[in-house]
Amino acid sequence: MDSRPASFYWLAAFFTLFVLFLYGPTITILILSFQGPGGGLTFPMQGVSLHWFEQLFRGIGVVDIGSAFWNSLILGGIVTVITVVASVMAGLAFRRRFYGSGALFYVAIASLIIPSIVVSLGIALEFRIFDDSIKAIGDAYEIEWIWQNYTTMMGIYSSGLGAHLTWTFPFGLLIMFAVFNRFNPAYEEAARDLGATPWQTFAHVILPIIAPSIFGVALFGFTLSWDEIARSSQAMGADSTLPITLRSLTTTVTTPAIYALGTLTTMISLIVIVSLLTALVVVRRRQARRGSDAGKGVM
Amino acid sequence: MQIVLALICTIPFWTSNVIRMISWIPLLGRNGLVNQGLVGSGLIDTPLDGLLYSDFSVILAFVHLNTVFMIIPLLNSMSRIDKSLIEAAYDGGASGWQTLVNVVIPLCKTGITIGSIFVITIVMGDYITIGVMGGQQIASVGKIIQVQTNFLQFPLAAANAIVLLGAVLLMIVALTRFVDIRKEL
Repeated sequence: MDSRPASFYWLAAFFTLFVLFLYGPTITILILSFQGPGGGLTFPMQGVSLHWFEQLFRGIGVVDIGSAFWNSLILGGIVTVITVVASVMAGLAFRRRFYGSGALFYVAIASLIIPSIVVSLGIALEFRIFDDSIKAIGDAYEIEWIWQNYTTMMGIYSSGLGAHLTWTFPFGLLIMFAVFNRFNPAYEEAARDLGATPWQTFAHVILPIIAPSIFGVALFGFTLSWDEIARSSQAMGADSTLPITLRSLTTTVTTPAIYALGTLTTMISLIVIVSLLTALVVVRRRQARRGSDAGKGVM
Repeated sequence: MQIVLALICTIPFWTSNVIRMISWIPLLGRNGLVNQGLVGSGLIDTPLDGLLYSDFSVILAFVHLNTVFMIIPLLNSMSRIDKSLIEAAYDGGASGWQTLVNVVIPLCKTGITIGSIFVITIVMGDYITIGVMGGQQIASVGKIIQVQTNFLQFPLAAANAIVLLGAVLLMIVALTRFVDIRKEL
C-alpha cells in the first residue's frame, strides 16, 4: 500500500467537515427535543425529559398533526405505486424508437426544470378552471345536484397527487432510462427463443433483473413525496400534508415541541430508508445466489 | 467503502427539508450555539444578530439542502471515468492537481451541467426556504408569486410565473449548449 499524500488528509478533513455540516443541525434538534419542561429553543438543556413529545401527542395549536401525518403517508404510498408502475412501463416503451419519442421524453422531463412555484400555481389555476366549468355546466343545465353538492375538485388525491407526480415521475423515468440503457437484450432474446410469451419474458426475465432499480425508484418516489412542499403548497385544497403543516408550525410554535415533531418525522424517514435499503440488499443477495446456473448441469 | 460514503452524503436529503431548515435555529439564533461560542471565547462582546433570518442563513440553508443535487450527477459522471485515463495522466508525469484540472473536470462536465440545472431551477423557484430562513422578510420571485396567489391576484401571479419560467429556461438552454443530457444516462 502506498503512503497517502498530504492532500488525502486535507480532503478527508474537508469531507469530515462537510458531513458535520450535513448532520450537525439535525443532531442538534434531536438532542434539544428531549429538553426539560423548563427549557427553551436553544441550549443549555434544562434537564432531560419526554415532556415535549407528550405535548406533541396532546396536540399543539389548532392544526391536526395526526391527520396530516396519515395524509402524507397514504399519499406517499399512492405516489410511490403510480411512479413505479408508470416509470417501468415508460422505460420499456422508450426502448423502442417511436414517432415523437424524443419530444415526449423532453416533455416528461420538463417538469423537473420548471420552477416549483410555477408548477404549483399552474395546477391550482387549472383546477379553478375545472371547478368554474363544472359550475357553469350546472348553471346552464340547471342540475340541482351540482348546486347542492359540488364545491371543488381540488383535493389531496386529485390536484395534490398530480403535484407530487410532477416531481417523482420524472426522477423515476430518468432512473429507468439509465437502467434500460445498460440492459442486455440478449436475455430477452434467449427467453423468446425458448418460447416465452412477452408477458413471461417480462415477469420472469426483465422484472427480476431490474428489481433492485425498482426499489430505488420506490425509495425516491416515497421520500420525495413525503417531503414535498414547494409544488403542493398551492395545490392541496382544504387538506394538508405533514411538511405543509410543519412549515406553518414554524411560524406559530415557539416551544421545543416542534423539535420533538422534527425528531419523530426524521425517525420515520430513516425507518423507511433503512427498510427499503435492507430489502434492496436482500434482493441483490437473492439474485447473486440464484442468478445463474450456467455450468451446473441440467436439472 | 465508496458506497457507504455516498450513502452518508445522501441520507440527510431523504429527511424532511423543513426540519433541516429549522434545525439551524438553535445554532444560529441570537442565543444559539454559534453566538454562545463566539461570546464565550471572547471574540465578540455582543451576540451577532445577522446570523439567522438574513441573507446569510438563506444561502447557508440553500447549500445545506441542495448539495445533493450536485453530488449525485457528479458521482454518476465520475464513476464512469475510465481509470486507465487517470493512470495515463500520472504516467505522463501529471501531478494530482494537473490530473484533476485537465482530465477529471473536463470528463465530468456533463455532471456539473446537470447538477447546475437542478440547483438553478430549485433555487430560482424557491419560496419555502427563503420564507422560513429569511423570517418571511426577504423577497424572491417565488415568494412574490406566492404572496400574490394568497391575495388571489392570479393574473399578476401568472404573469410573474411566465417571466420566471422564461428566465430559467434561458439559463438552461445556455447550459445545455455544452452537453447532450440524453447521452449521459
